[in-house]
Amino acid sequence: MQRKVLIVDDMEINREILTEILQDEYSIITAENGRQALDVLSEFREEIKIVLLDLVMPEMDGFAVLQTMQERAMLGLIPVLVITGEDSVETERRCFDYGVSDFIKKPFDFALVQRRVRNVVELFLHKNELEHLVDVQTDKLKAQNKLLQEQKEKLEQNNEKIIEVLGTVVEYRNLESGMHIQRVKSFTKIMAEYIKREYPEYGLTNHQVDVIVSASALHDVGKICIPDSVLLKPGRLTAEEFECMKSHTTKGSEIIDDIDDAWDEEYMRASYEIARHHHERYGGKGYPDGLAGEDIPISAQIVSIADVYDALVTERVYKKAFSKEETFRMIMAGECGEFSPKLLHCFEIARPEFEEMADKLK
Amino acid sequence: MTVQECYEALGEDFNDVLSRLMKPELVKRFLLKFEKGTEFDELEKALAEKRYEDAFRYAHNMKGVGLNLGLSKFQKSSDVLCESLRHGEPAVDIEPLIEDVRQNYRKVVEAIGEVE
Repeated sequence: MQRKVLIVDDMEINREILTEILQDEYSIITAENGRQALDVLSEFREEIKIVLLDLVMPEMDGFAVLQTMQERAMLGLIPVLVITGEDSVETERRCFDYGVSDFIKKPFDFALVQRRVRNVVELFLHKNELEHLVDVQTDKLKAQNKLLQEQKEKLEQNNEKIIEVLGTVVEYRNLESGMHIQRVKSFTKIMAEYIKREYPEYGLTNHQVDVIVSASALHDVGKICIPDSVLLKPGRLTAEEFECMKSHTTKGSEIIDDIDDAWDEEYMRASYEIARHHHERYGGKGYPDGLAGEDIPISAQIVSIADVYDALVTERVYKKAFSKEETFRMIMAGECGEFSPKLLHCFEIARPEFEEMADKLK
Repeated sequence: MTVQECYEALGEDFNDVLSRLMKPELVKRFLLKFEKGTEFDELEKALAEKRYEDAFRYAHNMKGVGLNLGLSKFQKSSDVLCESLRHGEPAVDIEPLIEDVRQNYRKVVEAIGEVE
């Protein structure tokens, strides 16, 4: 199908001259005024490759046509060459403001009109084709992005699942800690939120808080390697038994190391830090590595205080439950565990939430 | 009279028109079309009826055709008339301007009438 050109001019001679110039290359449609032009544009919107438009016309002038084409979002798709007999800079500016491509000045010159029309038609075909390609690519990218997002969510679920399964194993193995993991997770959540808010220097994001809370379920995963005789012993542990018990931190980090490729680096790192370092002390006298101060990962510091709080406030085979008031006092006084001033500050302001949670999960 | 002789008789530049429209037969065709056209009568009528907006448009068209067909004298007089009508009812007496266009138009039409 031949490309269509729309010639809009109220003067018949002008329409004929332009038709004569262009009819070898294009299929010509003519209109005598703006209204006719718009009718033709509506009917052949897809096929018209260029409009040659006179400005001074009866019924509806060229500017009104440009205005309507702009409103109908046609001007970016169909190029317009304005036919003009005068050199008015103001008129040209106004036309360019509408998005007109160029001008055809009277007197018409056969070769110049032919070239100018050909150039603009080719340019727009190319431009429209490129824009179409960009649209297609954008759609593809969007689809791929959606797929990636879905895969990311799936992976995230995978990470949670691994932690949940392992956490359940510990629960079964370590008879006394039925609700322990759930409570540590809840206390960890409270602490992590306060640390995030009070101490931005740790750079905790919402996502990292979620990861730490999930990973806190694995803080005692190493206990599955401790013999029942030690793990479930009701009385005081001997020095040798205590050493064995302490090894749940290193054993736990080894187990997590072994899972390796199956989960996300971020989950793995947090789980490793927490399992290995939740018995470190701020002063450096904890185990297994004797880390001190901020060398102890913040994830492990947070879970450590949550773990100690729960151990104190609940009954164990080897001890009775302390009251909430006593538990608070002991932690603040450094009688059980040893925490950074920042952690203690957060613990102090988080006290009501800790106590509420302790009651709720009793 | 040939088309070229017609232009010479009017004191216009035939070669200039030919260089733009490429073929002598096209120049001739459009000249004859112009001669048969009613736009000039419409212009006179609009002026007589003081329809200045329409008159402006017709004068504008005369100027355009004059440009395209290389009829410079006719085009120039149409241009002057056209500008005097651009903002509606003219402030000055335009009768001399109309007469000027009329004269030029007659000369052009007469010359075209002799083309074979």
